[in-house]
Amino acid sequence: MSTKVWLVLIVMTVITFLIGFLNLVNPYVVGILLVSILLKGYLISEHFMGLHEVNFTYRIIPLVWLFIVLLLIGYAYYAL
Amino acid sequence: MVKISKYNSPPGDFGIWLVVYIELITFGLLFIGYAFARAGEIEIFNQSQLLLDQKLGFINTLILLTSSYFVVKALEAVKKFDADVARKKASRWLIYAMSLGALFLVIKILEISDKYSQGINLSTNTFFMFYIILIVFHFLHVVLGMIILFNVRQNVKAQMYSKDNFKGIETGGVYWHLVDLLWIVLFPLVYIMR
Repeated sequence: MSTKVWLVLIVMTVITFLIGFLNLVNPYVVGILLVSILLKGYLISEHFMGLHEVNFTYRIIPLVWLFIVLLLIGYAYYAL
Repeated sequence: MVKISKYNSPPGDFGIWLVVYIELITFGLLFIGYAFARAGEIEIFNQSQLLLDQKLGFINTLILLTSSYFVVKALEAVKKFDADVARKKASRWLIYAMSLGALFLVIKILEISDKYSQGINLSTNTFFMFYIILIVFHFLHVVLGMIILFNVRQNVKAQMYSKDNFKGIETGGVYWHLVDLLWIVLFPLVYIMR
């Protein structure tokens, strides 16, 4: 399982880099990048940190942190 | 029927999770601060961002993710194999992980040195103030993570961990994955998003 998670993280990172390298970043793509960060954070906290085996309370803390941070970053990019 | 989780507490010592939560709040404030500061100086941020080397940021992301994966493999080895085999395998995975951590630090030093030689410092503009603070702060966390991994490997070599006792390696791993988690926000935010 950890190998599959690592591969997904690598592929998502390659896509993120290509978006920047090929200068494809626009307001819509910023939204996609923020969602991809949330997904990557989910994979790292659940499978690398091992939180998928523990109580929901502990599992949700890093994800709530990530969600709030990304929401506010998105707000700063779109609304300000 | 209610599904009951296997464990009531997160992996490793609970103390490391307090450190993790404090670090998440600290870096979270820096990330949000960066985004709000950018909103007031979009042109300066976009122009300054062009001076960063996205390729180096990308390579460093691959390095950290892979290093984190190696630490997961080290923990898996301790949980799966008997003492002698576990010691050899986990020790090897941790050496791989630390080697990549060292490579990350070398690339970061080269990157920061390059910026410094261009006359860029904390006072250059708001973008570079955030860039330098975030990069250096994260760098120091990688250094601490390396020290922790080194100690974990010493304990692995001393066969202090087993199938029934692997809390120490879990604790070290959690900190190393935190460093990874922070970087996967930092890289797209500072190097990619415009």
